[in-house]
Amino acid sequence: MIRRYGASRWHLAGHVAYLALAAYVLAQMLDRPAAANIVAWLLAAILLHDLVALPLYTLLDRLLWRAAPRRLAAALRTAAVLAGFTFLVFFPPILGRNDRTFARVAGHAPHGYAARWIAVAAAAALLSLAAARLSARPRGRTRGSPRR
Amino acid sequence: MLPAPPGPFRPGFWRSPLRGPWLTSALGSILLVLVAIVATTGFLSHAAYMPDLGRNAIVPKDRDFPLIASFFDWPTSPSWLYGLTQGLHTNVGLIAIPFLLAKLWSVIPRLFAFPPVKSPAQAIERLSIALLVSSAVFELATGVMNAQYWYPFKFNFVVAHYYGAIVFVASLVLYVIVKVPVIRKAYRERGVLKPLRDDLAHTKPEPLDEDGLVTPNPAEPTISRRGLFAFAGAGAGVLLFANVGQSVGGPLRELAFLAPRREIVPGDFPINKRAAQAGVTPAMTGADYRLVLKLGDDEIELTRDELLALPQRTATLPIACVEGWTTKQEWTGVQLKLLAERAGAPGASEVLVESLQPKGVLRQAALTGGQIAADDALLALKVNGAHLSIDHGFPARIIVPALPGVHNTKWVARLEVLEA
Repeated sequence: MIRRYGASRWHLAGHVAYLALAAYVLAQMLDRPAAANIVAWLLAAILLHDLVALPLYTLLDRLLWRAAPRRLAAALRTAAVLAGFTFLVFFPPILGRNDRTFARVAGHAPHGYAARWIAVAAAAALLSLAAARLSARPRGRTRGSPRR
Repeated sequence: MLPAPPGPFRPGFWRSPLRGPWLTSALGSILLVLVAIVATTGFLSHAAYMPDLGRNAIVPKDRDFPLIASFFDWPTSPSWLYGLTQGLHTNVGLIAIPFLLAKLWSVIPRLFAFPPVKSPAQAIERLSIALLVSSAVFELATGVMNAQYWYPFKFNFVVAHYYGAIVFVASLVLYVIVKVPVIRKAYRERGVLKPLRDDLAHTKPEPLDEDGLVTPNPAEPTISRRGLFAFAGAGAGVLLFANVGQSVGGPLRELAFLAPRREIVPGDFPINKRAAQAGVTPAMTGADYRLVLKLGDDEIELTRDELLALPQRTATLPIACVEGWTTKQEWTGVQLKLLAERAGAPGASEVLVESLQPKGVLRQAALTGGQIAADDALLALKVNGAHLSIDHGFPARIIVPALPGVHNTKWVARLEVLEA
């Protein structure tokens, strides 16, 4: 039987024990209001990442490297990664999605998040472009010397 | 055997020369340390709410895991303990995001392995990995949304985040056990850090592996392996810098350029529940206000002036929110142990604190004997020398060292000794 299973008996025992625990916990989690919404979010978590976000940024990266020279592409990618991570985490205040809830609990509205994010994204772009230019320099210094 | 359908199912479709068992092992090792910190501090926070007491439990008691919930009394010293554990939970959680995304990127060819299932063992393993990925993204996403005060979902955050964490940790433990041989082999063959020495020109694919992580059709590298770690590290650094100031407070707060709690109304400090929102009106807190001390059928009533006439104590204590922000202020009021004594229960081991707030799970909180007995545990009447404002809990609020923020009940109406 173990031969048909395809791995050791410990593999089977471990996974059966795990699935029993996971099923129990999920049953507790879903035996509550808005169970369908929890299922939707659990599914969305994996589907949106694996089948939407990852293929999308992979495609954008490939297009960028096809369209731009290496150093420019590398610099733009660095800036996009830094701006992208901060946007991914902080887009609710950047887009003002949390204004009402925040003001209700905190007593004052959040402001300036979009401006600060744009400033940081612009700074990241400028710095990485400047770094790309600097790293391109040594080649320029040897301009006078005979080509190898 | 059927040929693989075209596209991502074909072995040469994913072309990055960086992917391989070593890269995945190295990213996974970093992620494991980060997740261990986030999970430990998360479950500690669950215990810090003392869900066994009174009606503290947000996850129903009969559906909780007693071993996680409260096998110890949450301490009251050092006073910054909960600020530290939640600061770690939220900020290390942010740091984990770039590493999780990099880790998932490194294993994407496995998602499209063809045929999808070769044996029952592989089927059951893929199911557990699907739950691992789903719960990992779910936990980070819900945690971030809660800290940002953005609720696009309909479920109870606390309960779903808690159960989701148990699924996540269980999946991760199993996954690590299954993958230990692969990780050890990768480190043995490639060295733990050696591939980080390669610059772009020396970045070559790892030898082909049986899991299909290494591409048989490598493209020219556009980044070195150490460059990829630098990317994730820089992303983690920016996220930390954008947020950590609200956890540390002081001059760092304003540097936290995207943290929700970077702004403070001048001369004030952050709150998470306003009187108007809680349904507490000036009429309830006016001259008719009485604090009720209750032990069994005995009740004692105290006016605010009578409370002010009792011996006062001043303590500088932080309020630390589960969302990861803190604010440290100087509080003045009556020691809770003195009030327990007044109620007729010196050394009370469980006290229920109820608010004037008419509705809501957190209109009440039960405190342990240790939390009542702590010298700096106060029914605060003043903050920074001035009487409390109504939004900060006037006429009187609880402030206990190291207590989770929302358990420092505002607008206290009644202290009931549940266990003398």
